Amino acid sequence: MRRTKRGLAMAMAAAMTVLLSACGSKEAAPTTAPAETTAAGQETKAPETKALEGGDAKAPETDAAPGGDLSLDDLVKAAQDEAAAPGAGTFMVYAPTSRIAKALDAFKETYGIESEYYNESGQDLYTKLTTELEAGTKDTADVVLMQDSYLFQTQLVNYDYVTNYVPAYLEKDIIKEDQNPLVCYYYNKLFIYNNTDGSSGITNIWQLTEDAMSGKLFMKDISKESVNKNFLAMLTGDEWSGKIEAAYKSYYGKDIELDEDCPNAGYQFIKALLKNVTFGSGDGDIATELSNGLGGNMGLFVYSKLRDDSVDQNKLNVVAYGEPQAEGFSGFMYPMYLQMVSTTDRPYTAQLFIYFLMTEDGFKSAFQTKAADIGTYSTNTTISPLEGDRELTFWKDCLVIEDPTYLPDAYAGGVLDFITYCTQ
Amino acid sequence: MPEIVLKNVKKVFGNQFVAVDNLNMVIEDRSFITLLGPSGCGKTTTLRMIAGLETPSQGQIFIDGVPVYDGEKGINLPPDKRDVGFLFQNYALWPHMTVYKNISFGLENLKWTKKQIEDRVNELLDMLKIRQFADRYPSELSGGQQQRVAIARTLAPKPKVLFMDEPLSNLDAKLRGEMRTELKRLHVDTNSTFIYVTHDQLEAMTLSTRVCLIESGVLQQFAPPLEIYQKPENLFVADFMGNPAMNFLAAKVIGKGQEGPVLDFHGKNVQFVGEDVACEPGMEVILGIRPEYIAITDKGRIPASVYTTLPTGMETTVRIMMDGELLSAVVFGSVDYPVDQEINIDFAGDNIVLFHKESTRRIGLGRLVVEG
Amino acid sequence: MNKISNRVKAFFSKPANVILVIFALLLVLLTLYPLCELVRHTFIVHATDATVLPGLKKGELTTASWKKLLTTSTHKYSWINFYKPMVNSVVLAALSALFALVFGGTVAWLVTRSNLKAKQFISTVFIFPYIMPSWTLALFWLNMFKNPGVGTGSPGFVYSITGLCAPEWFVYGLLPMVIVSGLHYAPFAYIFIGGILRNMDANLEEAATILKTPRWRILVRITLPIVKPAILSTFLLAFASVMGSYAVPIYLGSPVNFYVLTTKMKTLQTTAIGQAYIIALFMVILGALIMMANSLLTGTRKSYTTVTGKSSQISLVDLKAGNYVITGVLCMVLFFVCIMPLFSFALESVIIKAGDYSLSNMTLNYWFGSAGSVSTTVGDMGIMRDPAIWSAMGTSLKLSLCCALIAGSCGVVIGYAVVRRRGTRLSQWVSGLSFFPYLIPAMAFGAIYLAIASNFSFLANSFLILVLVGSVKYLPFATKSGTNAMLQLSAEIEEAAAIFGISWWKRMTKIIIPIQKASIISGFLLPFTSCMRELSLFVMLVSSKTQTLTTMLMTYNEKGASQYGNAINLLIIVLVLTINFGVNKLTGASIDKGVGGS
Repeated sequence: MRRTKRGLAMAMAAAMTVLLSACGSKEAAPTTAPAETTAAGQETKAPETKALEGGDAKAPETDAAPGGDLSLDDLVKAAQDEAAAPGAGTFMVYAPTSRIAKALDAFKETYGIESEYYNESGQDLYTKLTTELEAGTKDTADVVLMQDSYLFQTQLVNYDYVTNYVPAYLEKDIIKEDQNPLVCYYYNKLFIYNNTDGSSGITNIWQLTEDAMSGKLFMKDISKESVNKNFLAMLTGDEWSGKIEAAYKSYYGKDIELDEDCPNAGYQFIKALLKNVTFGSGDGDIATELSNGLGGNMGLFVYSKLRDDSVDQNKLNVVAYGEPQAEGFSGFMYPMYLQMVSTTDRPYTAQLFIYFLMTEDGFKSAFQTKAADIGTYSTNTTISPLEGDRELTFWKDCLVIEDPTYLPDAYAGGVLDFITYCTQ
Repeated sequence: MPEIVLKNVKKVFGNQFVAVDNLNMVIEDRSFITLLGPSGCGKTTTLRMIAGLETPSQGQIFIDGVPVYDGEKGINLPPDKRDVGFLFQNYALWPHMTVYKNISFGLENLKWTKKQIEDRVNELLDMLKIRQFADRYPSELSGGQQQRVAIARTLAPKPKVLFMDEPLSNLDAKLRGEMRTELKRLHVDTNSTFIYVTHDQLEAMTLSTRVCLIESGVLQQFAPPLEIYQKPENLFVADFMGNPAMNFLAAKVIGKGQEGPVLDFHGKNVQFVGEDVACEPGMEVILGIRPEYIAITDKGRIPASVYTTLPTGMETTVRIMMDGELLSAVVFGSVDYPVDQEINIDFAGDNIVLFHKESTRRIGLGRLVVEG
Repeated sequence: MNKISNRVKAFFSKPANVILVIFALLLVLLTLYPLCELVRHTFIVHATDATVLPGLKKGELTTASWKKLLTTSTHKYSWINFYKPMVNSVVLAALSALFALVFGGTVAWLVTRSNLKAKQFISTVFIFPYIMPSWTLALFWLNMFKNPGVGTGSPGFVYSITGLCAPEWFVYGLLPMVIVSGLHYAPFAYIFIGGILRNMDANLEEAATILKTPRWRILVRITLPIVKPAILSTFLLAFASVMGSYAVPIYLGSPVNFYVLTTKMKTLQTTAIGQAYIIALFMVILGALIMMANSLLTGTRKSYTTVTGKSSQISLVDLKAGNYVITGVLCMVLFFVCIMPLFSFALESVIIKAGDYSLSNMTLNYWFGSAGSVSTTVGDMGIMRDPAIWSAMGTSLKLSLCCALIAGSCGVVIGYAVVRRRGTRLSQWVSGLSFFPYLIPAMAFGAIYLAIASNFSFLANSFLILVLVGSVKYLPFATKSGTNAMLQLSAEIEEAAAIFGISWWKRMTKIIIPIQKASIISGFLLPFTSCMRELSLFVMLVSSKTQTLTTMLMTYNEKGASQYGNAINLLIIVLVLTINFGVNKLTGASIDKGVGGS
C-alpha cells in the first residue's frame, strides 16, 4: 500500500516535471531532481538518523516512541544538532491558528532552534499539506497541529502522512485516551444565551427545536467551518442519538416518532434544530452581536469569545453552567491533534517541539497567554484551567466530542447530504 | 546606382484579398515616380512593400541590384537595411520630442559624431525654413510646419530613395501648391530617387518623371505623365488622368476608308485617321476625346447645345449636350455662353484615342475626319 | 530546407512575431495547462472524495464525482448543490450586471452629456467602489442596516441613529447582493460608456438635433445604438466578475441560505473536492461562453466606427430645475457608498463593544495600543505596533508591485504584438488566451498552482509563486489596457523610427512607451490594485514569511476580532487609494484609463 502510494507520487511528480520543464527556468531541472527522490524513497534520505530512530517512522501506531530511549537532554542535543547540520531544511509547523507563532518564539527562546509556520484554518491547510507531501516538497511541514477529526483521519492518518509521537517524559501526565493519536488540546464551543430578558437558558436540548426559538439560534456557517458540521454529524451516531432520544422522552414524556427520512433520533433532532438556526459569518461576530442583541437569543460559539473586549459578558450566560445542566449536551468540543509528519527530515526537532507544546511552559506560551484565554484545555493533566473555567473532565461529560472513526462512516452514509438538505 | 526592380510582386491579405497582383516595374535612379490610383487600389501597399514595411506574399524586389525581398529564397531585409526614407501621410512626428530632437533622433542611431548630427540638423532646419521652431513640440505647429519637420526628419540621413505616402493630402489647397513646388526642387537638390503615392492625378502630372497607374492591385500603365495623358493604355487610364475628364463616345466600325476605318458615330460616318489602327468592321469601339480637342466653332460640322458653362478665369469648361450625350470642352480665356444656346462643334487634334469597347484597350491614336 | 529556414528567419525578424510565439507558448503553459489539470482533477478520487464515494480509493480515475453532483436526487442533492446555486449565480450575476449598467451608464451620460453640477467630485468618487475590495461594501451594508429584527439582532448604524428596522430581505439575500455587486462594478459601465460618449463625434447627435429630433429620440435612436458595444461588453464583463465573486455571497447570501456556485464550491472543497473542481469547471465554461458572446456581439466592425472623429463642443442637456435635485441625490448616494464605508470602518475599528457609539466606548488601542492593552482571542496590541502587520504590509506592497510590473509589462508587450499583427490567427490566439485567467475562479486557480508549485522546491512556499500566480491572474487586465494603449497609437509612429534602423528595444523605450506613458502606467495600476485586495488566490500559497494584509485580515475576521479586521480593511483601502491618487497626480495615469476610458 505504502509503496504504491510512493510510486504514484513519484509518477505524478515526474509527469509534472516533464510537463513543466519547458516553462521552468534553468534552475527548474536540478531542483526538481532531489524533490523526486524525496518523494520516491524516503529510506534513502538521511540514513544516519534513520539508524538511530529505528523503526519509528514506519510504525505510526506505536505510541511509545524510540525517542524515549533518549534522555530529554540527549533529545535536545540531537535536535540542536539537526538544526546545525549542514543543509538542514526549515523546521516548519502547520497549524490552524496564528498563535503557533508565539509557541515557535518560545521554542526558539528555550532551545535556540529556528522555525517557521503556516497558518490557515480550513480545508486549505489540508490541501496544502497533502499536495506538498504527495509531491515530496522539501520545505513542507515537520510537525502539524490539526483540527477536524474527519479530515485528520481521512486525509492524513489513512495515508500514513503523520506519525504519532508521545513524549515518554510526559506519558504519565497526558490523558491516556488522548495519546493515540496525540491530542494537544481541546477547544469547546458552547451554547451561550443572552440573559437580558431574564432568560434562564434551557434544561433540555429539545427546547432548541421548538418554534419559540425560531430565528433565535445562531452558529457559524457549517460551510465555513467544518468542525460545526462534524458536531452535527456526531449526533447521528449511536451514542448521541441514544442520549437525544432519551432527552426527548424525558422532555415530552413520550417516545420519539421518526420521520421517514430520519433513521434515528439524531437525524430527527438535526432536522428540527436546523429549522431554527441562522448561520453567522464567524464566532466572534456571533458573540459580539449576541451580547448586543435580543434577550433569549442563543449562540453556539467558541467559549473564549466570552472574554473578548467587544463582548459584554454580563449579558451572556453559559448553558453548561446551568443548574441543572441541560439534558442531552451543552455544546461540543473538538481536538487539536499534534503530530509528526512521517517524512520529516528533522525528526528530533519534531519530537522536541511536540514535547515542548505538551509541557506547561510550551502550552501557556501560545494558548494561555492571558486570563482571557479560556476554552482551551491541554490534555496534560498537570496544566490546570484558567480562572473561571472548568477542568477538561467536566467538559468531556457534557459536550459532544468528535470521533475520528465514526465521522468517515457517517459522511460515507450521506449524513452531510442530509444536513445540507435540512439547511435549505 | 539604386535602380529599383519589382518582379512578379504579389500581396495577399488575410482573407484572400489580393492587394497587389503580379507587379513588374523598373524604377530608374533619380527618377520621381508616382504611384497613382483610386483609394484602395494597392498603391500604398506597393510603396510599403518596397520600403520593407510590408512583406509581399511572393515575387522579388531588388534595390541597387541587391535582392531586398525574395519570396522563393525567403530573403526579406528590414527597412533600415534598405537605405530608404519614408514620409508618412500623417507625418508620424514623435509628439514627445521637440522639432530638433525629432530630426536628430534618427541620426543618433547612425554612428555619426555629435558635430555631424548638429551640422546636418542645422542644415535641414535652414533648408526647410523651420529654424525658429527647433524647440517646439509637434502639437504646437501648424499642418504645413509639421509637414516640413517630417520632410526634414526623412531627409536627415540622406537616403538614396525617398518614399512619400500622400504627404500633401492633409494640407489646404494653397499650401499644397507651395509644397509641390518645394518637393520638385528637393528632388533635384537631394539628387535621390523619389517614390510618391497619391490619388491626385494633377499631383502626379506635375511632379513626376514617371507615373505608375494602378487599379485594383494591377498595374495599368507605367510611363511619363505626358505619355500617359496622350497615349492612355486603356479606358481606365484615360478616364483617371486629366481634369476635366476625357470624353468617351461610343461608335461602331462599319468599314474601311482611305486613311483608316470608318466609324458610325451618332448616325454620322467619321473616318479615324492614324497609324497602326487595329480594328475590323463590326467592332464596337469608344472614342476618347480630351476636352481641349473639342472645338466650338461656327464652322463645326456637329450641332450641339450648351448645357452649362464653368469659367475659372484662365480657361472655361463648357459642358455641351450633343445628341443626348454630355461632353466637356475647354476654351482658353473667359467665355460665357447662355444656357441652351445652339452651337457647332468639331473634333480637332491628332491625339484622339480609339479604344476597343470589349477589352477597353487602346487600339489607335489619331484624328477624326467627319465625312459628309 | 534553406528556403524554410529563410522563411523562419524572416518570420522571426519581426519582434511582434517573436513576442507572439513566446507568449503563445507561455500562456499555454500558464493557463491552458492549469485548465487541463482542473479537468483531470474532476475525474480523480481525492482523499475527501474517497470517503463520500464509497468503494473508491484515492488516486483512482472515476466519473463518480460527476454522477454524484449532477444526477443525485436523494435529499435533492444535485438540486441543492449544483442546479440551484447555478440558477442563483446566473440570476445574481445578470441582475447585478444590469444594475451596474443602468447606474453606471446613467451617471456616465449625466456627466458627459448634461449640465450636471459637481462633475469633478462625481467622476472622482464614482470609481471608489471598484478600487475598494469587494467585501468592504458587503460588510458596510451589514454595519449599516443590521437591526434587532434580523439575525442576531445586534443594532447597526442606521438603527442606532434612527431606530428604523430594515426588513430581512433588505439586509440579506438577493436584493442587497445585487445592489452591492452592482455598485462594485458600476464603475465598469461608467468608464466604458463614458469613454465612448466622450470620444463620440458630437456631430452625430448634432446632425439629429438640426433635423429637429427630440432629445429623448436622439438618446434612444442614436446615442444608445452607438454605445451598444460598450453596453454589451460592460454587461458581460460585470456578469463574469459577479459569477466569480465569493465575498459578497458569503456575507450577504449564506446567512439566509442563498448559495451561489462560488460559495458552494468552497463548501464542497472540504467534503468532496472533486465536485468542487467540477463546479469550478462549470464556472470556467460559463465564463468562456460569455467571452465568446462578447466577441461575437461586439467584435464586429461596428465597434470601431464609434471612436473616431474629433469631439467638438456639444450642447449639454439642460437639466433645468432638476439639476440640483439630481446632483444632490447623486452626491448623497455616492457619499453613502463611496465615502461612508471609510468612516464606517474607521468607526468600527475604534469602538470596543459593537453598537455603542459613545465616546467612552472608543479606544485607539486596536490601532496603536501597546502589548496587553486589548483583550481578544487573536491579538493583544494595536496593529500599527504589530511587526506581523508591518511585514504583511511590506509583502502586500512588494507583491502587488511585482505583479503589476510583470503583468503590466507583459500586457504592454502583448498589446503591442497583438495590435501589430492584428487579424492574424496567432494574434487572435494570444489575445484570447491571455484573457483566460480571468475566467478561472481565483480559488481553483490558487489550488492548481499549489499542486504545480509543490513539484518545484524553489517555488513552494516562496514569494516567487505568489508573484507568478498574481501576474498570470491579472494579465487579462494588463493585456486589455496594453492593447488599448497600442490601438491609440498609429503604426506609422513606430515605422518612422524603424526606417532609421532604430532597434526594437529603443523604439519601445524611446518612442512608444514615452508617448503612451499614462495609458501604460494605468495598465500597471489595475493589477496593482487587484493584487492588493486579493485573498482567495493567495490564501493557499502564502507561508508565514509571505503573509499578506488580506490573509492577515482573514485570520482576524475568522477569529472574530472585528476591530482588527475593520482596521486592516481601512488600512488596505487607504493604501490603495493613496497609491492610486499619488500615481495619478504624478503621471496622469488612472484606473479608468487602463480599462479603456479616457
